[in-house]
Amino acid sequence: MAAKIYDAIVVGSGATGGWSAKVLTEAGMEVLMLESGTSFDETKDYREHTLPHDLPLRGRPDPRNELLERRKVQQYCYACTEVNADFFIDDVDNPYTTAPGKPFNWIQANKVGGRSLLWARQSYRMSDYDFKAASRDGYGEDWPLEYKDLAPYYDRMERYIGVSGNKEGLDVLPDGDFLPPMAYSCGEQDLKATLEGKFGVPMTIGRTAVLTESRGDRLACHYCGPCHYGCRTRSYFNSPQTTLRDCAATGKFTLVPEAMVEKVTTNAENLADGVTYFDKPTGERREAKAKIVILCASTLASTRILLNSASGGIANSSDVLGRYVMDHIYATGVGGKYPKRDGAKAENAQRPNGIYVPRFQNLDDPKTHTKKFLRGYGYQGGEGLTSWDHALRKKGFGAAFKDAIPDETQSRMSLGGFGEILPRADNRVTLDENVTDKWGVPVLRMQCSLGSNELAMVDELLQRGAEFLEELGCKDIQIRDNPAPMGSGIHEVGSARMGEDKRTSYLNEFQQSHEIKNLFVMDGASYVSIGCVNPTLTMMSLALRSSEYLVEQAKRGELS
Amino acid sequence: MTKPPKPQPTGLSRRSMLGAGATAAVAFPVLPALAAVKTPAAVIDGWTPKFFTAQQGAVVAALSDVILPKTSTPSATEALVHEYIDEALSVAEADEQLEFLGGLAWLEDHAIDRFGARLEALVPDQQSALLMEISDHHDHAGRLKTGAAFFVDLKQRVLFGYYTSKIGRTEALGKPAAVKRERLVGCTHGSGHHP
Repeated sequence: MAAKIYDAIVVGSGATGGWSAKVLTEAGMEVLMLESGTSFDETKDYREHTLPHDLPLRGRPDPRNELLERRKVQQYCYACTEVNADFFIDDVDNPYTTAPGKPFNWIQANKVGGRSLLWARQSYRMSDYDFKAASRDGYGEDWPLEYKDLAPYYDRMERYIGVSGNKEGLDVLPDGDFLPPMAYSCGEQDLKATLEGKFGVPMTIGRTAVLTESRGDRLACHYCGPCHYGCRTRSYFNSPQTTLRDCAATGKFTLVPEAMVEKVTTNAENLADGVTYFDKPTGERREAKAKIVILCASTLASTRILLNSASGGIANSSDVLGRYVMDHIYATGVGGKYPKRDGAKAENAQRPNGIYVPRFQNLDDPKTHTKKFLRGYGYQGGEGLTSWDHALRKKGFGAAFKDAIPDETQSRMSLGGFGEILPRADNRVTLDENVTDKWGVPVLRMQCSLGSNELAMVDELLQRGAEFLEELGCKDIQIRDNPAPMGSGIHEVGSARMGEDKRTSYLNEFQQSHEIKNLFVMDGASYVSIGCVNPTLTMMSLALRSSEYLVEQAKRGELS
Repeated sequence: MTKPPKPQPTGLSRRSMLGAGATAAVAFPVLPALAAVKTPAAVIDGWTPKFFTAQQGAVVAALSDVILPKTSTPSATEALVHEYIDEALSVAEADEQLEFLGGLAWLEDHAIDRFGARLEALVPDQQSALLMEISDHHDHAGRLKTGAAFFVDLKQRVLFGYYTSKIGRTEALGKPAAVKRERLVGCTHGSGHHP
């Protein structure tokens, strides 16, 4: 019996794969989804109510936990702990290499739902400051679409996933269709008053894909805190509890977990006709066939598949594949004590969200212009109140020492910079032919670093941040001036960018290969420039737009 | 993975001279608690440490209660802090284990120096006086340096163990025993009008 030929294969079950499969299956197409991670089980894959005393070392890394021992890279991510290490990829089986002097942190998921289970849920729209950045400052390339092309998809995306936030009327951070915003703390109200009153810099509450009102069987957030351990009330957006359920309801959907795709295969007409993949439990190489192939494996995993599909990379006469890798400047920022609020009690409610200061540099207003760098940065942060940990820094011991601890809480304010990293052809990934993963597939070699524009931006964001906190009245202001290696922001995008010109881009504006018309890459690989906002909302909105285009094209017979 | 072998601190001086039950093998500068010295290493009922000897476990438990004694809220040992410290050290790297045991041995020696008695045999006020000597109230140099580093190490472990325990969470911090549905309130005062 001949192998079944699906209408489409979607590689990857995360934020974008879920959307692509949802659109296609709801349009009546038979979709096979291949996911390298293990299956998601709603009866045990939420552990968000785990408390420190449920764990032998109270949440500190336990060397007896073999899962953690095999995830030394993944533990860079704050979200990877003893509780959910199995949500992350096994670094031993899945290595990658880096060029000398160019460290890279590649954080990957290992479960159906991918990083949509683990993401920080911050959901911001990009604007034409981003899509048309090259026209504004002459660096790089514009996107092949503009804000008005994507705006209707952002609208639909926000309505479906549920984004809480506040409308601010800023052209750099377009408003959306929001659920009621989460509340500021008192200290954050003070910060907002200082930023806006003294500096003319707007601040808003984080726009986050967490429900503040119930919708059907997705309930409003109950503020337990660690969303990245899963959510029994389905309050934050992730694909297994939303888009993948919709796919399954169509009866047109086949999901195969633990299927790690190796290559896209092609036929004599230079059309994609399927993929090869490894069944991870058995190590067997298998084949799957389809009329259309859509990669949503995550930016660099998709690019690795494309590089591995033909010598020099499939459909890569532009030589763009693997180049223009971007991320956000990450792990730099300022923090300081805010004594005015010392002694205040933290709420039991743990808000899974912070504050956001949108980009305020190099906008239309000449007062925002700077010659120090191109583009810009925003801040994410907020106020944190200690519960007991101030006692770690308190002198003494004994009864009086102990009894005073609950009333001696301390407030701390932080502003972490998220800055745009410019697209550079030499920030790239290639296949490392000398190293293979557990299944014998060549691994990626990362060759990415920050450039002078990024370093100038770091200087500025630290200086301004310190100025803001000082004006607010913060004390003991500390700066974190050592930006993390690329990849650490876990916003890696680019490497198969879109564009109008097939000599300088890999995909068109619908994330379709310029050279193989039934091959699509609907994840972050398609980014042309990264802007400074968190990428997932835009990635999903692009996937929605491209998938609807795909359905129309397929109906007209344009993809075969 | 296999557990690393339990390291033994080196350079012990007087402690190595104290055989089990030995009480008076060294010259005592002060002898206020001689009667108590006859007590063999106290053990905690029903607890078999993984990492410590029973005697070390008893010392750590006693010191934990000097740092966080019972007040209107439970003591460190009521929150089983000693068991947490033992558990954490049982899987720690060898140098971390050695550092802790070395500090403990130093303090045990120091107890002999100061009171002529084994640490676990001292009354709480004497244990407190010992900790006061090496506490972070002072900057330490010279001969007290090892003790001072041990104090900080022990105190951090006691605080962490206490406040991450179930009793610490519920009785000291007043939080619910299990996670429950919460409502986020946030600032209700308007900017600049916080209490």
